[in-house]
Amino acid sequence: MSFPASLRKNLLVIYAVYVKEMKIWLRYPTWILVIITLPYMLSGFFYVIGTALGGPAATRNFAEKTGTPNALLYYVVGSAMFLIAALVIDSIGGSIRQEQYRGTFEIHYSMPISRVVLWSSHILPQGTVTFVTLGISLVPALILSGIPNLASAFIGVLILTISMIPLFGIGLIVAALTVRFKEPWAVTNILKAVISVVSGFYYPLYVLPAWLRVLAGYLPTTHAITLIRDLLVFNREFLASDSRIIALVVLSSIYFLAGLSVFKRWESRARRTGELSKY
Amino acid sequence: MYASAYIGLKTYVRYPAWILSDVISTPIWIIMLLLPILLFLPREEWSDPTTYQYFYWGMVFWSVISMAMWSVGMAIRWEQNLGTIEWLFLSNANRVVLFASRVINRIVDLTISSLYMALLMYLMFNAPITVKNLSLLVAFMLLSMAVSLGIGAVYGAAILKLKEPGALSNVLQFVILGLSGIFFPIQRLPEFLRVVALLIPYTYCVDLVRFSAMGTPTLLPLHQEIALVVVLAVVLNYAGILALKIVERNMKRTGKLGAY
Repeated sequence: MSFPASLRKNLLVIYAVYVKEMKIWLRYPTWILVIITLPYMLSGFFYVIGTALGGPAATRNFAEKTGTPNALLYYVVGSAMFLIAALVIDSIGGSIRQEQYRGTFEIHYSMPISRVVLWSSHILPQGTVTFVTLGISLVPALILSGIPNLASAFIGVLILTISMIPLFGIGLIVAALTVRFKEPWAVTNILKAVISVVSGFYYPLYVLPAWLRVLAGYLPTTHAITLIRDLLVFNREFLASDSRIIALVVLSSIYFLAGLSVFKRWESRARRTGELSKY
Repeated sequence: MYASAYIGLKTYVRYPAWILSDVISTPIWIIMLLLPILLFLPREEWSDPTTYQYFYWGMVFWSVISMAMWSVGMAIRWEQNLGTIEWLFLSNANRVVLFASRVINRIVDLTISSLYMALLMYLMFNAPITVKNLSLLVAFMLLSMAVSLGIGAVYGAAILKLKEPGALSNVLQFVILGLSGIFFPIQRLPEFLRVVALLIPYTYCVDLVRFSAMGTPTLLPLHQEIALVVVLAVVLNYAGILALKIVERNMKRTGKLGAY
């Protein structure tokens, strides 16, 4: 098949998945409301309990340990990153499982299309919903705390976009595990927990033990959250040659390629052994 | 009740990966929830066992609250997804008992995770979890679960009507957790939030649980508080049964029972 024809076919797949998934998302708009409000729910949860336990010195204690007295913005930004990680990791494996439940999974395999494109396309509707809703959710916190300049906001979006690539790679590994073990939520639950704790979405990394800090260096989400926090919470500027940006880009590529390779291998094994249709 | 408990347990053990996943991820989630809260405390209090006791009982009680949000509400949604909801509504069984199958899972889960979390608190933070009066604690936990089941039934009726429980459950859970002093005594809340806290049934339940476990003073005189929680358990369960009946009758009339 010629390149333009192949491209057209893949674009059609992406379009079809996008329309279908967005239709399902919009059918349950309450979930969108949850994504908008969840960063505030989580931030409020930490803030109310923290200040109740910490008493009058709570904010001072917080500022000493994080470098900012603005706990709301600190946690809202962390929650936004946490939600992006959780949603992206869930999306691909979850989509496969949903198709299995609906009895439509095998039908996808009877179509002459790339399965990688098919399952990868789920990231786009997921990304749309995530970005739009988290954008809406971040705006009030940023307005309350003084909006950073437009360039910072743009770089922030760029970093968030790059940070979705490695998560997508992890999502592909989850998808592979779904095809193999059938229960993606058990796997994603552990993965999300590990990534959330080690990346330090809600606290500075120095509170973790040294060995966990070493592990954190290998997670792209760690670099993404420190960069975004620098931009939006501390209003710091940095250069494109910042080692964290380089680490983020390199790790993103590695995670993505690893995810792709694992998914292809496990999928082909499942087709050979007949595991594909079992759930 | 037997059939309901049987199906609940069978479904629970059918997915061992979930049980394993819970065992592995629970300590990790505990760290994720605890560390941001500790940032508000001076460093010397990071090793104060009382802080960890509050946190531990808060985590345990969180399961009781989730029971209301997820047990009946999610059971209804689950049966809708499986296409068995109409069959269940054809039976003449009590609707609360029918959908409370997940309560059995929750009790099993709660027992295992309470012991497991206590061990983790000791291993990770060197904070031993002690119980002042075990029999009272068990009694108050059961009473709290009865209250939770009642709230769950009212909530389940709302889910039957609204269809999608996940979103509402998430929001409600955080509001209740933040406002009913699950992780701290409500005296530490600002005045206006304390009034809201006093209107939430869970405030009294967790207060009794902490009294029996940690020996903290109760909000009301003990006997009055126990009486209040017993009344709440009866009233809320009655309200739940009534709400489920009304919604069911209404949906049967309009033919919306099978729609989801």
